[in-house]
Amino acid sequence: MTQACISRIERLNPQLNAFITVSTESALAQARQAEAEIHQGRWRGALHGIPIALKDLIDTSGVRTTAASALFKDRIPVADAEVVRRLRAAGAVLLGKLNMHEFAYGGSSVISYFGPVRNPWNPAHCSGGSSGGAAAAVAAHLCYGAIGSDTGGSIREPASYCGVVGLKPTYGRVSTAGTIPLSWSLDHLGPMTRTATDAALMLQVLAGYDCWDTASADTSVPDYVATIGSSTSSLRIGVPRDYSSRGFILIFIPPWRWLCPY
Amino acid sequence: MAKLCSSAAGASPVHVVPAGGAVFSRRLFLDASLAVVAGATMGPEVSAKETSPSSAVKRLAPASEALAFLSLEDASALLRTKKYRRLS
Repeated sequence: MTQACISRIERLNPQLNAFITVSTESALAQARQAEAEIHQGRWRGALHGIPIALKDLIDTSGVRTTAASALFKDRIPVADAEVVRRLRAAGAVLLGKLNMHEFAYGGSSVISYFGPVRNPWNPAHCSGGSSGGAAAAVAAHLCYGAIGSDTGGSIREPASYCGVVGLKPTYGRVSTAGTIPLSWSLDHLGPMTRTATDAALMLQVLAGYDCWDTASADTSVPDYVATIGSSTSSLRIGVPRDYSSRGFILIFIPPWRWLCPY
Repeated sequence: MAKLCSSAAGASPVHVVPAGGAVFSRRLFLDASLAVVAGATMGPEVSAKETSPSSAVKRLAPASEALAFLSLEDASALLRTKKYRRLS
């Protein structure tokens, strides 16, 4: 699986520019280790042996983390971010670091020291951002899932541009310790995948209290995968009435009022 | 005929909608009609294209990349059952 992803990266990344750094050798070594462990009956969970990629603002020990900026183009962290530690503990294979809008401060991923990310649906279009490389890589099957960050839409927007699932978890649910911040009180990390179940599988590994993150929520983590198929009839949707009339263009008002007849 | 809707905090008016709960005005009708026409025009073109980026590239992909087209869930199940060598 890792070799399949690396083959696709080598073939398609020159066009898509989704990856800034590809850790080919270490990824193959991690894959071989995972394979050996699984054959010995030591299966660690759903992400064991699965190739995952990381937005390039998430620190990885010994692998450069640039935030897509010339300022950090040679920056090599000495420690992993908390989400990376959790992925490693779960046996995930870390493929490399994904291109993004520089310092996550924008929604196109066109502004990057390493060049713009292309949308796999149509390379003439942008991938959205700031987690544009993550969305493009997942959509083009360069990896099975990715970690993005969302401060003002940076997971959700590129996910919609590229037709993948992007989940911004509740604030404090996933530790942001070890990531280059945009706004420490608004930053979120979350999974980007091709299916909702895949997002649940990744969130299951990422979620949980971290004492090194002052905003981390010390609450129990539910079984996300088990709730995927459960009924949604008891769920309630909050509607911000003020927002409904602010900034909405006229064409959105009729369906909005039809859906929310308050 | 129309009232100004301002934010709850009393900010400046931001939008005009018909009074009395009616949601359609001539302007809204025109905007909605334009959207319908645009959608009808684009529909055949969109449906003629691929329904996902993967469906296009999958046909061109070498067999060695077949495993990359699994979902994470399916890939994980394959690894757990150690059946992946049959597909790779």
